[in-house]
Amino acid sequence: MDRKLHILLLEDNPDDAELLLHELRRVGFDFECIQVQTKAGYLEQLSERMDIILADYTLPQFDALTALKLLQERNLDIPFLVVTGTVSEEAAAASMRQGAADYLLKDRLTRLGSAVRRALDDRKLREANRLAEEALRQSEERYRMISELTSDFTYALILNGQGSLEVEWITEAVERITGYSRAETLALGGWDALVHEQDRTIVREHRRILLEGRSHVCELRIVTKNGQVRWLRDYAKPESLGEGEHQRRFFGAAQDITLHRQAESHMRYQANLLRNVSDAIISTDLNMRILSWNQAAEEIYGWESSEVLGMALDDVVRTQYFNTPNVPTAEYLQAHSSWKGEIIQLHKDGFAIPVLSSLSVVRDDDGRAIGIVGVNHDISERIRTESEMRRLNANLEKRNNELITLHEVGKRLSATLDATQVFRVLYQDVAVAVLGAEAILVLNYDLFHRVVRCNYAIVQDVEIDATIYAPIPVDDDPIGRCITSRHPQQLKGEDKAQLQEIEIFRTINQLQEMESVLLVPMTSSALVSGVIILIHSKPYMFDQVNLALLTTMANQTAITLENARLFDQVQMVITELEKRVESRTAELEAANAALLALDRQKTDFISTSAHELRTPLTTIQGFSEILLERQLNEDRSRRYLRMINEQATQLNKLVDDLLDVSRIEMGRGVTITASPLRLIDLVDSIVPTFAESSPHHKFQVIHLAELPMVQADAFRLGQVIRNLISNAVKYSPDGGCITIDGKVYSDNQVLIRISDEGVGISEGDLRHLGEKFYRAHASNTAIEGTGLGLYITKAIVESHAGEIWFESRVGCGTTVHVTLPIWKGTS
Amino acid sequence: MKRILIVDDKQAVRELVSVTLEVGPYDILTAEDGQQALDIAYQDHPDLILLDIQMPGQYDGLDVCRQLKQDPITQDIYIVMLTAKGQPQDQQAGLEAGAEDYFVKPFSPLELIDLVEQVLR
Repeated sequence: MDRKLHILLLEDNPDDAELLLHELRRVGFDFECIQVQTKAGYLEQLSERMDIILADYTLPQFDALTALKLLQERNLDIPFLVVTGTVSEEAAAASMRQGAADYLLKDRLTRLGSAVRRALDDRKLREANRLAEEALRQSEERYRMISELTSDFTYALILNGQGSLEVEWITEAVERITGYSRAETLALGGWDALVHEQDRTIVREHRRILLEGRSHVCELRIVTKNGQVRWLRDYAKPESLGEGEHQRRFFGAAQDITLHRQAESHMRYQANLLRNVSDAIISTDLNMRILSWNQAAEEIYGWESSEVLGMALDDVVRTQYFNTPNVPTAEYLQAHSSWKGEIIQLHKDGFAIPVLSSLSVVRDDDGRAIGIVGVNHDISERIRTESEMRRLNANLEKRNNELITLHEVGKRLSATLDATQVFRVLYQDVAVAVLGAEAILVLNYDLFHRVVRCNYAIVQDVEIDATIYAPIPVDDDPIGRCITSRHPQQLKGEDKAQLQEIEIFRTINQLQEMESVLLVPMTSSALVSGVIILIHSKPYMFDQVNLALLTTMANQTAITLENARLFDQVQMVITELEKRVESRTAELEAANAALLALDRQKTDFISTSAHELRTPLTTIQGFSEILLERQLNEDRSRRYLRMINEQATQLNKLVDDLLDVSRIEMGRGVTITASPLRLIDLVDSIVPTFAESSPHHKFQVIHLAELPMVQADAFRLGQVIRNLISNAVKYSPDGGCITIDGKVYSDNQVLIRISDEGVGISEGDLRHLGEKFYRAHASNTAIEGTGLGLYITKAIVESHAGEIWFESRVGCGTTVHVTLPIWKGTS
Repeated sequence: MKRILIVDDKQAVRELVSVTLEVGPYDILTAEDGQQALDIAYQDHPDLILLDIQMPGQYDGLDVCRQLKQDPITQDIYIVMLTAKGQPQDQQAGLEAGAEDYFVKPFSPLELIDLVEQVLR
């Protein structure tokens, strides 16, 4: 006891109190005692200063159980001893049940000392326990606080009655990692519910080990509230236990290791990359001593990493720089940090490897150069491809140039249809310009006669007249073989000698050496149409391309020549057609002009005949009407009737003429009934009528009586004579002599002539006499006529197989000539 | 007495017209061609001319008509074309030449008398 014991004594009897205190003093307690008797006094003195309370069970105004209750209500841990004079089992049990430390009888106070001491010890022990528990609580609280400050979360699990684990608590940090708040996590039954389905086995195993009482670490994935997958590392351990305690609680700490995992995977990827790259990656120090040498470097250079580490790089690869202005020395690299270029290095076996090299300076964190890394790419394949491409390109270009030449020449060949022009192009642009030949010959092949004819020859720009040479028979000779094989042939010794025996080749040989002679067939429409011969005075090698070019040229020439030939034919046909068209056009124009003239004549005829028909009709109608209407004397009546009669006769003649014309027009001609006829008889029957009606004219008929009989139609011939005499009268209005004479014209023909001394006919009119509707002196309407008389006359004469023609001089008169057949029959 | 000039190259027609008109109180004159017709027209100044178109010589009937109608001295003479040319274009030509009337052959003498009486009334 290091201090005085404070005792609160609840006692109404002073003797009893003194007795108690005496006993306590007797057993050695040093104390201060405050005695109270009432509830108010008790409450006033009740404080934590008190070390022990001694209470009489029964008091006049108070009692021990109530006091104990009040103490507990004050939440004070002060040992409470009940001291009583009455012994009651119920009271003792009630006190102890209430929480009293002990129960003593006043008459047995010897137990008091030990009871107080034990109560005090108990209380001391309780206090120590309380303090220890508080310390633990504070420690846990601190730990939880610290946990809340880290990104990791911690948790505690409790084994429940069913043998499964329940979350006891979990730190707020769980939300930062999983997105679920603490409450949400607890509601889910802990974060185990968030484990990725593929990692469920892992978490089950994790918990199983924990339940066995062992600590365990695992890494697993969870799915966060927003669907992200995160990696956690969880460290779980069972709670430390005292001896014999049963394991109930487990602690765990989970750490988000997603970034770490990613970094790891990235590193793995890079490591893989480095292993798998096909480029040699070599690092050196600043003195170019090799520090690392990857697998690709081993493969490219043939050196094992172990063979070269520490060696000077150039002693290994023997770099040759070319086409580069800057050789990447260490100094250069330090100044420029990097270099790139194509170089040649050596393989362990000594062969060269073209390499595209990239060098970079490696620097430490302070920017100091500490080494060099080279990435070297083997470009052998590319170089090979490039050189192949160059070769192909060169070939293509050559081919292209040839095609251009071919195209150009082809254009020039097609541009002409003149064979000679074609040959000149062939000579200049192909033979000379492309192939360097000095002479060409073009031979035409005559398949039918199996000969070739030289069509064109030119030697050293001088054209030779090829036409003077005889056709060359084709057989089993160089030319024949070229034609048969349809392939170009370059002639060798014997063949060449054979060719030179042919006359034209002898001539050429005199002009120049025939060192190389190439025969190229010309093929057109699958037939060999000829051969082109190229001659060089020096040896010449034709390659495949040349020959292909030449063959194409030759074929094009063949086609062009064929075109030229066809063109010539077409030209001829065209010229012929043009001529025909011209002549036909002229004929048509003439026919058209004739038709137009005829049409005009017809119009005139209709107009004229209308007038001619109307005149007699007017007279007939007029006089007949007068005769009917008026009383006339007999003389006048007769006179008018005669006029009507004359006009009717005139009308009749006109109608006859028109009928004759229409008959002639219809192609039926004039119907002739030929019989022997004496001309003099016919003329004598006609002339008197004219002599009577034309008193101013003198009519003379001579020589007719001596003529042989003619074969004629008396009526028609009479028509002719009347018409001709009538014309003679009409066109000699001033009178004069009209002569009709005749003579034997030939063995079987006689000639009759009717001449007048009238106005005559102009040469222009003369040509048209006898044409239908044509009237000489048409302007002179005083001379009546339909223009049909001579037309009918001519038709009648021709129907007699006779002829009629006219002779006239203007102002002197006209003579009409008519021939008629002599009667040959027996009379 | 009214004076009538008959112009026609056909004697038979001249006679027919003369005979037709001789029943009336007319002084009948005749001409064979254009020139004669003009001469008589100027000299005797007839009241009416019956004028054929198709006539020989320098002037045909249309020429005569145009000439007379252009001249103030003769333009009052009534001119009737008396012709075989009966086509509409012929009649048109006659009217353009200035003729007052047109009579187509063959004609009825009685109709001609009616026309002449009407004109010369």
